[in-house]
Amino acid sequence: MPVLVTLATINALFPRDTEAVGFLNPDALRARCKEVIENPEIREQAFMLTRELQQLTQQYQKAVNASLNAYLKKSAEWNSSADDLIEILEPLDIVRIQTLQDIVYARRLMREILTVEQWNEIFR
Amino acid sequence: MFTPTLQAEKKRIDRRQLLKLAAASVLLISACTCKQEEPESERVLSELGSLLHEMADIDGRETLISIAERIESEGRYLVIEHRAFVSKFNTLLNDRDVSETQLGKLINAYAKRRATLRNKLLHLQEELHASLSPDEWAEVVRLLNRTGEALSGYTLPEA
Repeated sequence: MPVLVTLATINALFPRDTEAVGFLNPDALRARCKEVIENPEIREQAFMLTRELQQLTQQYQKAVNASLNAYLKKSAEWNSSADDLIEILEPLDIVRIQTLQDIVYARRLMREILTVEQWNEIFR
Repeated sequence: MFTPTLQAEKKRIDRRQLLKLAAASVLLISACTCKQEEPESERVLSELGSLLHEMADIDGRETLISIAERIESEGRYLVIEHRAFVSKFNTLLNDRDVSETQLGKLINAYAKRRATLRNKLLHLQEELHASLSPDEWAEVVRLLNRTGEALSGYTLPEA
């Protein structure tokens, strides 16, 4: 069903099957931090931030799954309307914006602990 | 009242319509992977074109075809916009010189845009729904659920 697949696709924020380092790929980011950061204390702080990004990923995907399941359930009702479906999906809009803002906040913290050289080396 | 031949034709067309909905799902899955240039996708697109052309000749199905086409078109557009947003957001996050204000503007602009586009798609779904009989809608729901199961293992894994 195009609508369902579209809804699922446009909620994907964290690409799988990629090794590109970035805040949207916490596993790859952690691996690169391990390579680049020599100071154990700074490295641990960076790891902590990648763990928070991983948690954000999990929370967001759970919210997406719950939202799409609710969409499916409501769509199955013969008398469901577009407004009913919009009402079901709107809370996910808020979750997504909050997730994106949390990622930006994690970036701020990462920016504070890394030198310019380390940043450029990690995100080159 | 349909003659036996017309009844068979109508059933065949209904199945084709459902096949189109299912195939369009596959196409949209392809659209979000790196495999969209593969010959298989081209083949499915070509088949869809042929099906639509045949279906346009059947009385009473033009509205349905038109809605399905608009859903497909709007869906593709939304997917392209989302991919562009994620790509730009990712690039800006990685650039140390980009300010949080710039990131915030990008997030807010996309949020407004996607809500408008997404709601438009849901209204098209409502149009499609209204154009189908309860039996046909039950079939679509069956496909919806099957697609939903497939998606849970493809696009939305439990991390």
